[in-house]
Amino acid sequence: MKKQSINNNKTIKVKATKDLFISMLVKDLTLNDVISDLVDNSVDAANNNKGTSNDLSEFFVELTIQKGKFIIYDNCGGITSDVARESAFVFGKPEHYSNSDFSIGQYGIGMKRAFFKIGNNIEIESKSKESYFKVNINVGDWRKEDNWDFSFSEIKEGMNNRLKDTYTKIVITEIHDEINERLISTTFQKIRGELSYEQMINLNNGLNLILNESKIIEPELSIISNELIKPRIWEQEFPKGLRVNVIAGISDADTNKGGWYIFCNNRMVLGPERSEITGWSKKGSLGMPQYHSQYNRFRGFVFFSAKDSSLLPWNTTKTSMDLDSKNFIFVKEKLIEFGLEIKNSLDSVKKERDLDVEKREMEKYFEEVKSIDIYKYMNSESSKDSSNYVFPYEKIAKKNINNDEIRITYFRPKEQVEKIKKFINKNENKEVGKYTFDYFYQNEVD
Amino acid sequence: MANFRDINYSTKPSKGVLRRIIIEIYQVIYNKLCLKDNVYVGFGSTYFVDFKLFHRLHNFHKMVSIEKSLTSKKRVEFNKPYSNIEVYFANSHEILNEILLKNKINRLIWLDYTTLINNNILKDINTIIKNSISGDFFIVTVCFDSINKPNNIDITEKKYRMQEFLKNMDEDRIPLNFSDENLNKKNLKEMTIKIIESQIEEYLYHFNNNPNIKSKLIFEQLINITYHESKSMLTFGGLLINDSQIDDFKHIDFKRIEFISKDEKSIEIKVPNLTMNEINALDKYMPNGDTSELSFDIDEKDFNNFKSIYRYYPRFTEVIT
Repeated sequence: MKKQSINNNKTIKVKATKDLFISMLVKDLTLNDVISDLVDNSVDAANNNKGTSNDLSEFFVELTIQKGKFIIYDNCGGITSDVARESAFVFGKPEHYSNSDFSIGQYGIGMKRAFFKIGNNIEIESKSKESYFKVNINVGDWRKEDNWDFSFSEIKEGMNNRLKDTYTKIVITEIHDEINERLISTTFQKIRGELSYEQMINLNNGLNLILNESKIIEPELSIISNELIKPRIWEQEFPKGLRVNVIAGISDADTNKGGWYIFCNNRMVLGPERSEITGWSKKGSLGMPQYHSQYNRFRGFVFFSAKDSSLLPWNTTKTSMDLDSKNFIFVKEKLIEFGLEIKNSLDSVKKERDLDVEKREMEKYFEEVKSIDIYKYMNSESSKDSSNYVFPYEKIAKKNINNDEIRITYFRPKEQVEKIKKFINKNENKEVGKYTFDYFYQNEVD
Repeated sequence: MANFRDINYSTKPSKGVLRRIIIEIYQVIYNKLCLKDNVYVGFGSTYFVDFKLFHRLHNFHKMVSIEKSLTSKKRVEFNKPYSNIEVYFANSHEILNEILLKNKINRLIWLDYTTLINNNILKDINTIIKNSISGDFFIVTVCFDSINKPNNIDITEKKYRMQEFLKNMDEDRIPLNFSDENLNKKNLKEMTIKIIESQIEEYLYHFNNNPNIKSKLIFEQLINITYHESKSMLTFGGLLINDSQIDDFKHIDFKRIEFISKDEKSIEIKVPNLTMNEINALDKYMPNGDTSELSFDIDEKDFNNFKSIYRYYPRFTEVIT
C-alpha cells in the first residue's frame, strides 16, 4: 500500500500577517484622527478618576508634535501594569475587559493604531496608583518577529502612589516621512480647532489640553433663550440604555457656526453638521434645504450618551455617525422635524428684508438680544423647561408683511428720476417707483 | 388641487363612480373594524361634491376642506353645504400637519390633486403617516398624463419628459428601473405607483422605528384605480392599521367589491357614453343580463363596462331648485 502523504492533517492554516494587520489598522485614518484617539484615551482616564463632580481642572493632556518627535503626556491616572499586561496592548478589547462607563474609547485599537501611523520607535512610560512601567517598541523589529507580544523594559508593582502623581507619557520618534511632511500641511494645522471642538465639553469642565505649549480653549457657542425665543429641548431613552438629549434653536448670526453639533459621551463627533447626515441639502421639500447664510443663526446640539459605549451610534474612527443605526435614523427624523421649525422661523426673518429697513423689527430685535453660552445654558434651569421651540412670529417677524406684495428694486438715471419727482410733486425715490408702476399698470395692463 | 373655475366637478361621471367606490370601501372597513367618530379631510373646492355625497352616505360628524385658492374665500364659504365643514385656506403641504394634529380621531383623507406626483404630495403622504392613528384611510389622486415636449426645444422627448418631471421631484425618488425610461403615459403611471409605494414603505419604517410605539403600523393597499376624463388620473390608497388589529382586517370580505386592488395593477373605470333612456333600460338587465336580451343596439364592451360600474353610476337630472 502506498504510504499516506504527510498532508493528511485536516487543519487549514489561517492567520493574519503583521503587515496586513498594520496596514488595515491605519488605512483610511488621518493623522488628526489618531491624535484625537490618543487624546480620547487620556480624557477617558481623566473622567474615570475625576470623582463625582464634572470638574476636570486637575487633569492635563499635553501634546508635543514636531518634526521627528511626537509626545503625549497626561496626568489622568496612568495605566496599571495589569491592564498593560492583559488588555491595553491587545488589538481589540479582550472579552473580560469591559470599557469604563460612559467612555469614548470603545474598540481597543486607538493607541495601537496611533503608534503604527506615526512612527517606528515608541516609548511608553506610565505611573498608576499601584505600579510603574516602561515599554519600548520598535515597530520595524516587531514586524519581523513571529511573536506578537511586547515586554516591559522596567516594572515596579505594589506601589501606593497618589492620584496627582500618576501619569502616562508616550514618546514616538523615528517619525514616518509622510507624517513629518503632513505636519506642515494646513490639514494638520486644523488639529487645534478640531480638538477644541471635539473636546469642548471636557475643556469646559476644566480639562487642560495643551498643544505645543499653548492651551486649547473651547469654542464659543451659544443659544438664545429668553421670553420671546426659546430653543426646543427633547430627550429620548432607547432600550439597553442609550440616551439622547437635543437642544435646537437659534443664536448669533455666524455662517461658520450654523448647524448641528453631535456628541457621543461628551466627545463631539460632527459639527457644525449641515449635510445629508442630519437631513440638510435635500433639494426638494422633504427634508431640510441646502445650508446657506440665511440659516447662520441655526444651532442644534445633540448629546448621545451610554454607559456602554458600544451602544453609541458612531463609526469606528469617531468621524461620523453610523448611518444604518436604527436609533440614529430615528433621531435624524427628529432633527429634521426640529430643524424645519427653526428653518421656517429664519425664513420669516428673511422675508422681513422685503420691508424697508426701519420696519424690520426682528432685525432690530436681534441686534439687542443676547445669546447665552451653551455650556451655561445646559446647566441652567431654563434648559429643563422648554419642550417647544418658541419664536415671536406674530409679535415681530410677520407684522407689517403683506404677502400679496413684493418688492421691486431697480436703477434709473438720477437726472430722469429727479425730473419725475418734480413732475409728481414727491420727494422720495420710492414714490417715483410706485407712481410709474401704477401709471403703466393703469394704462397698459388693467 | 385644481382651479375650480376650470371644471365643474359634479358632472364628471367617472369621478362620480370613483367617489361612490371610495365611500363603499370605507364603509365596509368602518363597520367591520368598529371605528368610532371620524373626520373627512378633502379638497372641497367650491362644489363640495364629495363632501355632500360622503356626508349623506356616511354622516361624518366633521369635515375639513383644504382650499389653496385665496381669492375665492368668500365664495367657498358661501358654498359650504353643511355647517360641520371647516375650510382651511392654504396649500395642503402647509396645513395638513396642523389639521391632523387638531383632529386626532379616525380620518378618511382624500387628497385629490390634479397634478403629476411631486415632492409636495410625498410630503403630504409623510405627514399623514407621521400623524396616523390605526384605522385611518387615505387616498391620493394624481394625474399621469405624459408631458408633451414643445417643438422648439432641441432635446429628445424622453430627456425632456424626465427633465420636466424632475423639476418637482427629487431625483433619488425615481425608482432605479425607471431612471432611463421614456415617461409616456404607461411608464408614468407605473412609476407613480412605485414612487408612492416606496415612499409609504419608507415613512412607515420611520414611524415604526420609534422606540416609544407599542404596536407596528401597517399599510394595507385597497385602491389602485385609473380613469380618463379629459385627464388621466390615478387614485391610490388604503388603510393604515396596527398589527394588533390586523386579524380583524384580514377577516373582512372584499369579494363583493370589484374595484378592490391590492397590487400594482390598476383597475380602470370605463364609463360608457349612454343616454338616460339607455341607462334606464340597461338597469333592468343588471346584474346578470347580457346583450342578447337587449331591445336596442349597444356595443358589447360598453355593456360590460356599464355592468361593472352601474351601481356607482351617477344619475343626472336637470332640475331647477
